[in-house]
Amino acid sequence: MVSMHRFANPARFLKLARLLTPWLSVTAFGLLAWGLWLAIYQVPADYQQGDTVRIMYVHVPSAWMAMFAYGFIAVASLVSFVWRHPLADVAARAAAPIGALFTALCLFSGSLWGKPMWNTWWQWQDARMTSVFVLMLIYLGYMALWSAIEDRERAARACAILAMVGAVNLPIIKFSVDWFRTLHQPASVMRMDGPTIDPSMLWPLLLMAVAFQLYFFAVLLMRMRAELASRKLEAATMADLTGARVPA
Amino acid sequence: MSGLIPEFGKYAPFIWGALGAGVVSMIALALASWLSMARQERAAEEMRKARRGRDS
Repeated sequence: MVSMHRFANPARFLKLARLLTPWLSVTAFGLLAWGLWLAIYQVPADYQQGDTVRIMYVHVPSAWMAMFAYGFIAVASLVSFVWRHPLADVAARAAAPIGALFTALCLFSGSLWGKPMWNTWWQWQDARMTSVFVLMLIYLGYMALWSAIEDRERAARACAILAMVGAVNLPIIKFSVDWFRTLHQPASVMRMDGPTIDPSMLWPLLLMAVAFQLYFFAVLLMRMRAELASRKLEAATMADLTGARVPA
Repeated sequence: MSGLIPEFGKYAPFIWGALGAGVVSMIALALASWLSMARQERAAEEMRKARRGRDS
């Protein structure tokens, strides 16, 4: 809690963010390039799925990050709602478009993987697909709500409630493959008894997951910096306007 | 050239489509976020300088 409040000061946060943004960006794109090179040239074709298994290197990290980003928004919303941390709603708002991108990418790449493997682009009866689609709708609703309410304090509180309620969808996505009959296979990486994927395919996947994670934080910092600068600008404009109206 | 770009046969459009969409969309969002950040921070800095100049 103490360390969290250390960065409650936007000036202190901005100093750290300016230092970290370029390093995170370069490392994320470097790892992404390395991971893609491995996925395209080095990873062997799967004995059942053939070369389509290469889609996994975008699809699976996107799915993980879609859920991680939403979890991040839900926690930031809780912090904003309960403790009124000045940066929490900035972080939650900044994370939403990144999470939405990962969700869209997960749905798109999943559809492209589903057609050759399951002979279908989409299946509404599949609980995993439908729950991720619901996540996409929640992201879109969350971003629309932020834009719809003009008063920022009210917008932050309304969005925080939506984000916290929407978090119910996360365990449904995670356990949909165990609770319902779906086309998706059960978890094969995050298992109690260890991953079932061959190491030659697993470690490039984990490398891509790290790249996606760093990318998330790099873009998050950029968007938070933009939001803080925009708020500063808005506050200065308001002060000028108020000053002009008040007779000296 | 054919040695450089792997041939994935009939699955090529699916594989390149998924990987390409990932790369292009991630670069696009990062670039848009970077440009937005640079523009807002520059505007805030110019406003700060203008206010300082006016106050002094």
